Amino acid sequence: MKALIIDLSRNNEIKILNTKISSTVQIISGYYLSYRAEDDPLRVVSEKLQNENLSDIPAYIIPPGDLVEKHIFQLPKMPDKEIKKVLPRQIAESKDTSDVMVINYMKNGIVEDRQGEKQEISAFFCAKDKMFDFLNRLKAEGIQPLKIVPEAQGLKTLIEINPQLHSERSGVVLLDLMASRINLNIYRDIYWGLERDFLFRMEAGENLDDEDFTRISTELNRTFQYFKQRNRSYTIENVLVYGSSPDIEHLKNLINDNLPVPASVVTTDFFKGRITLPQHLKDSGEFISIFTLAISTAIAVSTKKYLDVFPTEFKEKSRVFSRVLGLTISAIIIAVILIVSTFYFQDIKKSYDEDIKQIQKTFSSMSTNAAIIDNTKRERVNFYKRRYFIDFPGQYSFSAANFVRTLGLISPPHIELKELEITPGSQTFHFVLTGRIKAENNTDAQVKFLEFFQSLKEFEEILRVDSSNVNVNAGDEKDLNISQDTKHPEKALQKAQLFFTFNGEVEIR
Amino acid sequence: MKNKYILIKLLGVASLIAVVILYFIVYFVPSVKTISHKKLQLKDLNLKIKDFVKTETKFAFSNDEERRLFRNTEHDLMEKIPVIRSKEDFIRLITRVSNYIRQLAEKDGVMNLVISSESSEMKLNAGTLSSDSQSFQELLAFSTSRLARMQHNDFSPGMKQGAPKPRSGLFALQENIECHTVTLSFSGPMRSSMNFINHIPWGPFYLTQDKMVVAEGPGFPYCIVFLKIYYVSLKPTTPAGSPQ
Repeated sequence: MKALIIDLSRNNEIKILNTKISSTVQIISGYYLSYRAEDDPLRVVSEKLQNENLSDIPAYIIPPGDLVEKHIFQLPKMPDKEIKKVLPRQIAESKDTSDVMVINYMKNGIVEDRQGEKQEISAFFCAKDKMFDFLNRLKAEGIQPLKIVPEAQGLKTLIEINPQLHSERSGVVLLDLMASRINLNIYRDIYWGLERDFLFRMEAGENLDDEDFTRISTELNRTFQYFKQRNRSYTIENVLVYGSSPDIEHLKNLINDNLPVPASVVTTDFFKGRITLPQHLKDSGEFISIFTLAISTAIAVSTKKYLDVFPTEFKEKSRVFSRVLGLTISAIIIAVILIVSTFYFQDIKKSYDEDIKQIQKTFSSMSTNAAIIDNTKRERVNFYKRRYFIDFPGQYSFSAANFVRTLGLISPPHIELKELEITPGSQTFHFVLTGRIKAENNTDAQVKFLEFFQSLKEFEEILRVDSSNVNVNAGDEKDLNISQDTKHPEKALQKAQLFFTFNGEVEIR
Repeated sequence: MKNKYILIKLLGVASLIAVVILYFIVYFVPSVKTISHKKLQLKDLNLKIKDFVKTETKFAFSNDEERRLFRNTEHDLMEKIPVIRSKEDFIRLITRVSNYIRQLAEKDGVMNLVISSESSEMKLNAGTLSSDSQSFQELLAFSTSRLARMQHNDFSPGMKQGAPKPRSGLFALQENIECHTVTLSFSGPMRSSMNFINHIPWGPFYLTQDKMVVAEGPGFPYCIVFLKIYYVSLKPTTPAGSPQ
């Protein structure tokens, strides 16, 4: 990922590092800018980025020293959730302010005092309004802030990645030498402990002279004494010198000659394996010492674990407009779709209504004829019904009488027809015929019955006939005609009789 | 704070979706239903017109001859159905019908005849034909027991004078048509009895025979015929079916 590291931590000078950050930091270019007190540093940065076509690259900002403050708090042991709740109160009390703060912190470890063990916290904070103003100014200048990484993070990383610089109970001094000013940070092990910033001369541009060094030496001694008073168990074991001044080497030598602490200048070796540099920057002896903080910060952000005081709500707030715009556009699009579809449906409905109206008009003009047709049809149906009602009584009585006559004609003498019941239907009548067959024996009775049944079936007008309730010899003994009457031998032979019932349907003609 | 922004974002999206859903429920779905209903209505009308055009082209409208035929047929039917306006008219009709039946039976050679009605208003026992009293008594005994059996089996429509008449058949065709059922029990030679049955509808009244029973008798067969006498009633009818 391409990213800029913009170092705004020092007055009158700005460092911009163009990098490609992955697991290692690939340094593409670096720009050192100095500006006058009356100039706006952000404008200076903006112009430089525009000139170098770097405006589109997001930037990690090392904020000005007066923007993000830092303070060490000693708190009872507590989880991070509680620390986040407690810190705003602690900061408000220590700074005597009610401003809402943007806060982040790093844990320095456990310290012991008279009240027992306590957790030491280095808090980095800024009034939210102040931070929002700063971020808005950055945006206004076309700079795209990605994160706000305090200076302390970069210096901590520099110490962390060099094991020779830190050990338990040791202090290391990081000394940034500028043209007329020195910024001094003392770290205890890898944790920030003290910062001082002092002028050692009024004018910049000349090499360090004895007078300057005397002042520097005095200030350093006073600072070291102060540190030792505050941190009795720590001893300062290293001084690292870096910065934009060409007199770094000279200062290093003066410290080594006059102070009991070894001093060294930050070189490429301090970032070995962590950064890659183009050849022209490798050859430049000043590059590393000028961009020490920026490079260290770039390494810090490449590790993903670093301090950030960028307020998340700023991003959200900056997105509000785009979201509102997006929602408004979506709402307008949806409204347009709905309105268009409403008109479309209305149009379809209207079209159907017109068609229906037109067709109904056409149909109503036809309906006069339709009524005539319906009436004629009804009249014809009624005609046929009337004809039926006129003809039916005669046809039915004729058919019924004819059927009775025919039955009398086709029934042989040995068959006695007991009763015929006729019930009219619409074009047919149903009949139930009961009777008796007398015969010599059962078989003969059945043969005669079947013959009679067959002759009924052959009767042309009978549509259907079936026999039911056929009983052989089921009658009374008296009716059986079984007698020994020798005078009438033909009667004596009538030994069997068969009772039958026919159900059938006859067509009315 | 972050949650607040997410909530606002979600609310915005949700309200847009809600508007769309509301539109679907309140307008879109009813519109689609209405349109499909109108589509069906249009299709139905088109089919009606198509059907009508098809019918009209093939339909032969009535001419004067057909209309005359319709009138004649209605006249033929209705001229035999008298108009009854009072109880007296009704009794007169029944008497006339009874006389007609009796004369016809005599003419056709029927030996014994009993005309009866089970109507509470019209308890009839028309005079018998001149015959020997023994065969008449036998006929009476047969018809009484047979009718009782039929009534018991609920077979006889003629016995249900009080039942509401279904407005179908002739009743549906002509307004105010009513009928009264009488039972004819008679005996005589088979030929005479069948001629009598056959000749009943030939008279000046609209009479239809319903159920018939022909049974073996000691001399001649017994016959029972339910006869319906039709009339146009212009008076409110009693539950028994006869005019007041």
